[in-house]
Amino acid sequence: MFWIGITFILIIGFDWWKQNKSQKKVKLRNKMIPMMFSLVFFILSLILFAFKDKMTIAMLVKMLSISIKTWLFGKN
Amino acid sequence: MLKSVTSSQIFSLFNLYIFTTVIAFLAGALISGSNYSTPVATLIGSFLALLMMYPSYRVGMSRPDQFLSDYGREIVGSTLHTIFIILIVIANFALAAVNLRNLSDFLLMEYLVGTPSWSVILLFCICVAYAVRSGLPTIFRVAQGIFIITAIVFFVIPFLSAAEIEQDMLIALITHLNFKHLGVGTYITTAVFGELAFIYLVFPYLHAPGKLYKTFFTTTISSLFLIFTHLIPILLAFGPDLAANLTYPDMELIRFIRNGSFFETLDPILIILWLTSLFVKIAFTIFIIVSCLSQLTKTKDHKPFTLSVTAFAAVLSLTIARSQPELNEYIMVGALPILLITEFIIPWIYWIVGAFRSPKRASNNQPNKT
Repeated sequence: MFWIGITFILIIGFDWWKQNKSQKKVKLRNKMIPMMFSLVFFILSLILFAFKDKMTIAMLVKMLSISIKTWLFGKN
Repeated sequence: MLKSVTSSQIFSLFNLYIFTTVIAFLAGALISGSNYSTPVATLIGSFLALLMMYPSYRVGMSRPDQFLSDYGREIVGSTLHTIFIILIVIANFALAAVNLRNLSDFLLMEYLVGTPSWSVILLFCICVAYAVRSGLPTIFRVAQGIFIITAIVFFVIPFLSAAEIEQDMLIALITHLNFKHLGVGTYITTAVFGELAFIYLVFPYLHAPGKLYKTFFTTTISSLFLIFTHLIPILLAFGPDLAANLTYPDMELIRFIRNGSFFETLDPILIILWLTSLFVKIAFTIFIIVSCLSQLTKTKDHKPFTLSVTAFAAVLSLTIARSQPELNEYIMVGALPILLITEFIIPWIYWIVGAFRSPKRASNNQPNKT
């Protein structure tokens, strides 16, 4: 979890620095949107990592498919 | 950099894209579901995919100079378009994560035993992020550079195992055809060959978009040929029961070659080819995600999204499933359905709605005759 945090901080810092260094003037909106996406991906990564032993995406998808099958065709 | 991807580059990338995945990671699943019907199921699946991806080509051709992520909202409305693009992003995340996970599992199981999986994925993802930041033409150029050597080696290797093949079993590919078995193979192959359709999201990069469907056809034929040169020897050397239980049947086929000690060391060559082909595939998948996000948010520059998207794909690949059987189940139940929706159903909706709207738009644009 610590290393995921460090990785995303480096990524956000690098992108911000790179956009500031750019020859063309980058609008604040165009800097903030990628940063917001990075934060969303960071939070999602933390959630996935925290639950990786208890609940994975594969398990969630399996549960969802069983629910859909039960809803469509009944318990049998 | 727009209009710089040529037809031969598309042919190279998608050949690598398709035959590597099928031969390296899906051969076991295909044979497990389709037994001796696997080659026929692959044939049917590939042509079904070719037929079903026609709407995606038509949608792209309707405005070849614009990104679908830009003009899609004019066709189906803003809300539906945003949902569709998010679904495409999710499908490509699933694809990238599954491929990364397959790659790391394979390396850790066969060659880097005891190495932490995060280190393999981290190193691979740094290279992928660098390629994606450089842009789509770079990814296609990489594919063009490695295609010829990869295709030659993939073509030659099965012939070296000719001595191990039970040629009398060849007739079983016709006599043991089973309609029930055909379904599973067709389902998998349609989704894999349908991945060609994602190019409708990056049409402005294509040098000659009019020739794209012809390129799809030649790509399907050539990758089918290369897949058959591996699938049929695997079936004839191991039989469907053993081949279905092998994690990497193609690797075992190469190890099966007993012509001399030189060939025993041949499998690292195959690893190199798998790695380079998967690199191109994952880079293209991640480029589709960053391109969709940048067009959807109207920032127009894919570069600031690249690192965070690649990092998330890496974490997703590490956490998507706890074991290989769980991952295989996820591919069948989760990844393939969402791929089929995004490859075929979404372009069909854009195409049908676009066809209904264009006469209306044309009549609205006509000057009033008074």
